[in-house]
Amino acid sequence: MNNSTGRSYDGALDALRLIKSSKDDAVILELGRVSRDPDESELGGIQAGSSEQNAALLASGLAFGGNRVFIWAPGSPSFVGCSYEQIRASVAIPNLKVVILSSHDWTTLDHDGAVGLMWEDIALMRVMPNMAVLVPSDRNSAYALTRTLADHDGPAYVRLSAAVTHEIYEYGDSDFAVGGARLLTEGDGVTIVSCGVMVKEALESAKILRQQGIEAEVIDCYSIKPFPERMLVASVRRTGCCVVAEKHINAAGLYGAVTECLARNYTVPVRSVAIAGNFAQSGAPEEIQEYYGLTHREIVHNVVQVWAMRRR
Amino acid sequence: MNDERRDELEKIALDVRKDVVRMAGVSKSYGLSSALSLVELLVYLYWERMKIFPGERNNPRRDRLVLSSGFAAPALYACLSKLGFFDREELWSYRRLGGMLQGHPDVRTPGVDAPGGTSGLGIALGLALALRMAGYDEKVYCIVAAEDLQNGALWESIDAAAVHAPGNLVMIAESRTLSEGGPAETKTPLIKRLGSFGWSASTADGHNFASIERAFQPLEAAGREPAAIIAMTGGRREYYDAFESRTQDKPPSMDDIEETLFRLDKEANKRGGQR
Repeated sequence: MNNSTGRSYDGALDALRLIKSSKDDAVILELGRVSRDPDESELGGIQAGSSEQNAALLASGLAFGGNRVFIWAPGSPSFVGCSYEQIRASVAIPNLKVVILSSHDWTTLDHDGAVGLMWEDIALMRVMPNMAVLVPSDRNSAYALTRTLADHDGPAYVRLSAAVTHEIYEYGDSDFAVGGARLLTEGDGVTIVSCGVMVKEALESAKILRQQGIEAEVIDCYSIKPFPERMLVASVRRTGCCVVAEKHINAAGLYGAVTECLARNYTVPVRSVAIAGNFAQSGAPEEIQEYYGLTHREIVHNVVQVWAMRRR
Repeated sequence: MNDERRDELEKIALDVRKDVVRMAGVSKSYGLSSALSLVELLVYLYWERMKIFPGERNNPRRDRLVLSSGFAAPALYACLSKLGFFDREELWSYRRLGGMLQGHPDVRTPGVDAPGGTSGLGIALGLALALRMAGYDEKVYCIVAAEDLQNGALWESIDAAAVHAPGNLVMIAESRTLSEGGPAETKTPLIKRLGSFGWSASTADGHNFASIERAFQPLEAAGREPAAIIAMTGGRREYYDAFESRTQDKPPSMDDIEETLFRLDKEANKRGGQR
């Protein structure tokens, strides 16, 4: 982890600007701004305002017309929720090159409560056939992953965050691939799999665990689908237990992907640090993470429990 | 359109209609009214209006057709096979497991430009914009069922089409509840609503080639505003009404199919066709 800070949201924006100027077939559709004047647009793309369903359909038509489409949908609750049928029927079924970039906490940074803050989005997009799901953990990885997606052959959903976080990777690190993951620390005590804003917490918890004599392997599982099965299975074979940390409902997201994989391949005790089945309430981002137990302390607490039951 | 050409198109339409009825027989599907009512419109578009390349299905300089009313897929398939996009034999495995022809249009089928679904107008608009961006002036035709105008997403697309105004997009709203002789108050509100969204709209008898052509002709000179044609397909159903009413809740029997094909043949003979 380096000392600079940034938002994954901005990393994706930077990458989009680059893609737009360097790839002839790239078209950007922008949602979420009221103006339809292209001069006022953030990315110089086609303005779709708040017509979410039409944006998914437009993307489909533009992709059928030979383009590679990026939908900049800053608010995922409205886009994923509102356009699900259109994304499914018009983008995912024909397997088009459409990348959806969306921030789960955009509108007013968690202050909107349940309507504005969605933590079911990974699950919704993960269960959709053909759709890749990526959750970058910082600005630099968001930049690299978005650039990677400019060559991806099919639809993808990128879940961003508008919250400012510490950078985990150096600027210019391009070792990211659809279906990949990064092993951030090595150890034989526990595997901590995390994504997005929780990667920083996982690294924090690994420091505390080391003081207690547990060496943790922290995996940044930025590609939830396709899922990096091999890296996870290799890791739990070394550690014998696993904790999953994500800012998402504790079903069908990263925890779902991890437990499905381990049930198939190598069963070990697994615990989840995630939202336990309720909708959000209003609050500042850091307050929300604290209130719902999305902290490094909670990861440590779960590791200690699962470590005691580890497979030897 | 001269009389000779009109007779030719009517002959083609009868062939297509017979294939649609045969498809209903082998696939045991029912509720074919949307497919049967679209036959003349599709025949007009494919044989008279659209620039297509059956041997070169991905030619970028082709006109596109988006069949938003996916239930009418059998009529589209019958046209595409007659045009040579794929073998006519495929029609007889329509919506069977393992068959090429899906229940609703699917882009894996040669000649199908976009998936079917209630909100195909947005896809059509995207295609129209893509053609414009490539510097092409080919057109995109989108057929929607007028009943689908109750769908909210469709109005997002109607609004966006007027804003982006690609100038190469034509929507055909097809309604079986409206007919040429029907009361004006049922169609005037639709024209007004489209007009208030910045669209030009006209009406046509969806079974009459001369009337369809009259509605399409002004589009050549039209400006950048998007154009809609409200095609009334509620008339001239005598040869399949009985078929429809008898098979509404169950798949048609072979007798139903035979009888309908017989009626269609009689129709053809009446027109002096030889088949």
